[in-house]
Amino acid sequence: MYLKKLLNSNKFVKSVFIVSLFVIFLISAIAYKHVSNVTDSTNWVVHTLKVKLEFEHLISNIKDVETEHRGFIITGNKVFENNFQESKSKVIENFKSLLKITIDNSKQQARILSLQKMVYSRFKSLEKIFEKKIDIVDHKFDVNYWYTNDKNTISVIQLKVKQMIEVEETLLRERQHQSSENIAFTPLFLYVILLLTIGLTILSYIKTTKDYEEIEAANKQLKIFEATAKQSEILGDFSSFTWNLSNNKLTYSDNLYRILGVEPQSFEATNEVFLTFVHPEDIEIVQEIMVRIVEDEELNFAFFRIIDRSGNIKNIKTYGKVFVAENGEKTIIGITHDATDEVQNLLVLTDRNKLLERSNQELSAFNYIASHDLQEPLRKIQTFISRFRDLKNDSISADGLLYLEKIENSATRMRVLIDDLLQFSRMNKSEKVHEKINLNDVVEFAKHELSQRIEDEHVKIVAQKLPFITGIRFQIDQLFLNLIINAIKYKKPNIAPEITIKYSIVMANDDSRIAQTLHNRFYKITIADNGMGFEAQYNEKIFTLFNRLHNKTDYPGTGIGLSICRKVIENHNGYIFASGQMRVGAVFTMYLPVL
Amino acid sequence: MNQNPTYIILADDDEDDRMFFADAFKELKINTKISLMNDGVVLMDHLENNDAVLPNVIFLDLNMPKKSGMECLKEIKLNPKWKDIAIAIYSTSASEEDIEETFVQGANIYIKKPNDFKTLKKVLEDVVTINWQYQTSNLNRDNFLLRL
Repeated sequence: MYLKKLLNSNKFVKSVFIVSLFVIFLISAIAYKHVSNVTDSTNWVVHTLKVKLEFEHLISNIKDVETEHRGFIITGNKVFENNFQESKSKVIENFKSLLKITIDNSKQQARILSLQKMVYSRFKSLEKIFEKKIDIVDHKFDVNYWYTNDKNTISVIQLKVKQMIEVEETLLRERQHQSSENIAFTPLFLYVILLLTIGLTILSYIKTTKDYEEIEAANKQLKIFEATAKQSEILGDFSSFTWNLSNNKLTYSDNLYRILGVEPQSFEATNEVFLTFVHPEDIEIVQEIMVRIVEDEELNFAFFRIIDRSGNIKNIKTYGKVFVAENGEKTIIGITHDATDEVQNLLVLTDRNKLLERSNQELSAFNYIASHDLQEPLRKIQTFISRFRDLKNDSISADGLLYLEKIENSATRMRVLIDDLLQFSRMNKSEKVHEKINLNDVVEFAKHELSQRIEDEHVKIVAQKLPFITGIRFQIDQLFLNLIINAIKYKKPNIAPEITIKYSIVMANDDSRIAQTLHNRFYKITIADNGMGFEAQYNEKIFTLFNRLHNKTDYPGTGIGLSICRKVIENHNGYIFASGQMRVGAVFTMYLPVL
Repeated sequence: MNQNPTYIILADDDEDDRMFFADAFKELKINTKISLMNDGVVLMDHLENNDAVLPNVIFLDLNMPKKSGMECLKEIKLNPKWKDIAIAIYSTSASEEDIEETFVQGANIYIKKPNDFKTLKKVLEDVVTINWQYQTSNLNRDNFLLRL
């Protein structure tokens, strides 16, 4: 996990780079060292050979000195003495040179110096022959002395020189051995480091490739997002702009240009150019927006109008906020919306609202006419009829009395119709006060209202203890009243009506007829009677306005009562269903939401 | 029955209604004095006349030209010298708004004009013989509308 995190971090690539750089430095240093080692050991070989050669020169020159010396002894010729001196100076030169090239080796120097001493004392003893000028033939003993007894004889010197050459050679071998060890170790070391470097480089290559792929994928995603944004801008009449406060540079999205009625990116975005599109009456507003947005670093919804290139006036809504980048650079990101349609719709809506208001006013005017103006003549007709009846009956014929009764019945029916219609229209009223309603009180109210009929027709009402609901009191009263009136009205002949009111709480999905809306718990209230019932095919139809199942003479009515019931239930977000069974009775089931 | 007659004013622009009203009292055996006013303006002019005897009860039709019953009601209730006059609203409509507003404005009872003459006589008899003192002190929304 940690390793993975490390591998994914940017630091990894950086460290690989640094390590690689270091390794390359190391390798070049080692290579340099190696080459200089090789050069060193070659130098040492050359040096040793030089020393050896110098020693050999020395030996050879000493031998020359000896040879010349012997020549002189044998011949006494002065030429040999000269040659002797010449070779001797060569030997001196040899020593000088030896001392010079072995300056770094103090042991060897000491040996050379002692050898030098030895050689010089030999030379001194040899030179005696030239000083004494003795007869060589007579001095055989002396010759022996020089070439056999003298401990500084040439053989001894040769031996010493040989030793010293050996020392040099041993030294050379040691050096060569050491440097060959160094050289043997170097390639392995280099190889290992190289492998490590290759490994690291491969790792960082993989990492870089992976990063690149990820960036590529992110880039792709970003491009898709950008395209989506552009399309949704077109669809939603949206556009955006950015305003970099650090360098005062603006960019507009393609759609902003379209809203201005020009080709996308067809001019360089600046506030000055934008202002040329602004509606002359709104220029001050926009200028203020431009100042405020910088000061407040935020812009609440602002509205202004523009005139696009084709001369159309558009309503623009804009909103902006400052975005602070990691480096502290502030950029205002703004969204503008072409709200022309919205404004248009609003105007249309306002118009329609006015229309609706007017038609509502007309409707309530109609209600007033129905409730007042229509009732007034009717009331007078009825009152005059009642006055007419009070006249002395003998002045009216039997037919006349019959007609009077018919007129009276029609007038009564018209009154009921007007009253019911009025009640129905009252259910549509918009101002409704919802209050807590005790349904037991509602049933009591209905019983009270109908007390005379209940007594007259021996009606039995059995109501379970009912819950409280929230609703409009007069509507709920009307609902129960209408349903109970219906149950009494459509009783079986000669059988006392029995009405049973029950309730339970149900869930919306318990009954497929209830759509699961905002509410999922309902009071299920049933009002069942033992009346004449109706055929199941009318279960739905009986709620329709003015729909009646019976003729007016047997069962006077307007066909509005159950429509009012349905209206009330709908006003309370409930449901009402009827189910009839001929000669058994009817059950009205109401569902009212539990609030 | 040596009491002073109950003085009743009806303000109604409808000629027929004024006739029914007068006829009903003619048939009722109650000691009353009836004055009929053709509209709200006539009523208020009459009341403002300093010599006028103030009525015990005013029956006010709501829907009248020039000055509606509601306006008359407000004016009457604003003036302390008319505070003892009982106001009976006498209207064809019995809309919730009218009932609510006249109650708030201080009317004493709301009568919906009946549909037949017998009922009319009964209503008028009831209203005129009410103990207004008692009725006013027990005034509430439930008994404001006269139920028959």
